[in-house]
Amino acid sequence: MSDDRKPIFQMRAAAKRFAGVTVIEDVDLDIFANEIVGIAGENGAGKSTTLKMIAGIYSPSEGSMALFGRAFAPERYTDAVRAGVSMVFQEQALVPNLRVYENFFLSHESKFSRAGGFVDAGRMIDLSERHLRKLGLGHIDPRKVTASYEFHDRQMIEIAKAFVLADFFEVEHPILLLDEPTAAIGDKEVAVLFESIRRFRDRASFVLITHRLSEYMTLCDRLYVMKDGRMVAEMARGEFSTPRIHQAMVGRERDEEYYKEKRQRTVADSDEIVLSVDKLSGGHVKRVSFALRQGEILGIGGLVGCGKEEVARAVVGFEPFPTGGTVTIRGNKLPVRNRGKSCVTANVGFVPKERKIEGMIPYLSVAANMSLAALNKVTVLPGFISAVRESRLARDYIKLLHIRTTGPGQLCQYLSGGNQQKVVMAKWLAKGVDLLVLDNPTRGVDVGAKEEIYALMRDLTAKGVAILLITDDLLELIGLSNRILIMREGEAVTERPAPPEAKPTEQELVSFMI
Amino acid sequence: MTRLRHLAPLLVLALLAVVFGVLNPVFVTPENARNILFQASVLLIASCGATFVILMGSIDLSVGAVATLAGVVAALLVPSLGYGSIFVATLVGFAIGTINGLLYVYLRIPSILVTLGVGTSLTGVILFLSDGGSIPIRDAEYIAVTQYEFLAYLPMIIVFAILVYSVCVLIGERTRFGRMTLAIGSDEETAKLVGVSVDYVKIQAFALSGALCGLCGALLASRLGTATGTMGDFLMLETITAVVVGGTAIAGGIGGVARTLLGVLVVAMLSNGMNILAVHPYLQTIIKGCVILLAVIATSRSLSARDLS
Repeated sequence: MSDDRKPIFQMRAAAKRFAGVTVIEDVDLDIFANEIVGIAGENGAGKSTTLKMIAGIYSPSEGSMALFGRAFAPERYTDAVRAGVSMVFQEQALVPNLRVYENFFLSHESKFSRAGGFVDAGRMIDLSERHLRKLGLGHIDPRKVTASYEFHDRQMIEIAKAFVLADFFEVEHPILLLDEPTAAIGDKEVAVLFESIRRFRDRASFVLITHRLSEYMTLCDRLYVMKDGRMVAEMARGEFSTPRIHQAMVGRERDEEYYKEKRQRTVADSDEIVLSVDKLSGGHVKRVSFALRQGEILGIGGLVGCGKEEVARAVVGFEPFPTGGTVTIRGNKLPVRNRGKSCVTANVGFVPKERKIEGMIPYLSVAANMSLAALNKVTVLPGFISAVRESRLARDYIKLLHIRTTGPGQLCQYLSGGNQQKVVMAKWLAKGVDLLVLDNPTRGVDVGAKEEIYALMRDLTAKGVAILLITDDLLELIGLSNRILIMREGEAVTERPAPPEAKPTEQELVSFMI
Repeated sequence: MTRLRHLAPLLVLALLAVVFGVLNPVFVTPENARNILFQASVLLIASCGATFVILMGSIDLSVGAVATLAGVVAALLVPSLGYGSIFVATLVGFAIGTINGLLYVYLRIPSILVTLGVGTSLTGVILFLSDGGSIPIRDAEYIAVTQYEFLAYLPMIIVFAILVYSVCVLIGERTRFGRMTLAIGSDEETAKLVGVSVDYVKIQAFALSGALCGLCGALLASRLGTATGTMGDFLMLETITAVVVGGTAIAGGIGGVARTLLGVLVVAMLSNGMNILAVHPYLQTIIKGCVILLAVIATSRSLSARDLS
């Protein structure tokens, strides 16, 4: 980009920490007028966090921002909107039951008040109509209820809202932040969306995040690449190509020791097949098939929204899940109804991604959380839990998993993320499982605890437990898995062996993901 | 924070005792202690059941109506069944609680509306049964069930209350059912993922709450020596207040039956103390309403503090 122009937005040395964990660090970012800027990066690289800081949803822990030459420190999203920054949210932020014009001016009605405290709806509608027409969206009637429009039209309504509000707050050149705008729409709608964005660019700047690299190539003037919370590359149009972007996105060193690769169990054909999934379909998952043997780790990778989590949900019966096709555990086909219960009976354990809300009960003690799935092992008399047995069980697993806690009686809410995760795992180990499904087991877990969880996974496979690993962390996927399944847009696109001596590279896998 | 949470009801209790005692010495006499215990016993029995329901993140607004109906049924049956009417009353409560649970689970209606609807209907049933008046109990033995003093100033109803409380604490702390009510209140998904039939636990909790309200109604009739169409009305507000003051979060997932005892004592002492000080009854109602608001504010504050940590 030519340096003689001044950027309308600047972010300098920005960092964001959550509870001491650094998510992004030392990020510089410029946005020029009439420009479409892309931010690329792996899942968890910090793209969304960066976007949310621009939108005032997060405030930077360090660093500064400037907008139109003035310091910019929005405390909340509405501050950013007032200053001319709008975000088109992944999950749409329109109230479905309101009319289009009501959505446009939601929370700004006071500017339209008439004598007697009434809102001047006529003026709101006029203004909305004028803007929609100017944006070439004349087919949208501001008087209609928002929910009556299809998803892609609602997306245009959100974009239009940004322009309407910018004009309303007398911002000449708004900045629109698009977070995965194409994740939920078809090719035709994507084309329409991109056409509109190009058309609108003479009046606004755009920042785009998408999981399809090709979209950066078609749309963006400039591209930032993030990795592990830092900006690692900035490319101007003409400089970026798919391989170059890949290269910048990945390319981390993998420490074999860290992932205990030497302890990876070699799976033989004689090992029993614990899980087999056949033509699993439903939602946007399409005919996914695979098998998993005892003592094996099968990793499923792919971008957010590729369907890997839905596959995990189907295997453990966590509703809602894709119901087409079959899931078989040790030769027994799992029913669709009450599958969750059948899974527990079939010795399937599940460590979900959102452990705080799906995996553990913060207000129960460590011991009570561990015995949650194995109450029959700690009861005396029919149905009465023995405090002695329960705390003995807890003590065993606290020792085995090196859980840092003051004792079995401590409430889980006071444990660190890593230790909470170990408690969730202990819950299933206490019950005894043949198959453990792990969804991002080390998310929000510190480095030391991660390594312990990896070691535990090796211990389990050595005992013959099969592990289905769903992870957004590529290195973890490669380092831990015996075999790797890559999914893209609901389909299993490739399955590769990953023996310790011939692990696939990140680049290889990423090329299948995108 | 948690420690404060545990201690707060105890501090409030001590504070109330001191304030009321200083303002009116009658408050600290054994006769008055008996009055407080009478009141607390009835409330404790109903609150134990309500705790399980609230712990799940649900609410039972029919407690008062169920207790009244059961009390009226008991009073009507005393001449023919004697003590057996206590059992029948409990069964009536159990049946209504089960209906509450079934409606809540299978029709997916919020519990607050189910129990409000059922409770309101029951009020009509009560008017039919009692013909709008009160039903006196003339059986001295039935009255002695609660009023007989096995030790000076210690009436039998305390024994019932302590028994019910102990069993409920045991159920809450040491059974699968108790664990799961807390787990459901904390997050239904977690409970489902460990293979619990969440629906069944919910029905059980409402059935237990109903049964205890039924028992409570029968004992209340015995204590008053009569059954009136409004005798249980105070229970709806007071059970919820007692449970929340005890430290169980109104949104569920935090707390337990054990704590409800302190909440019950606070509520009983407060109404007794205000009576002794001759606080205007209208003002008493205002104060009781404020207490529940304060308790909810206090418990939800520490709830959000937990979420942030």
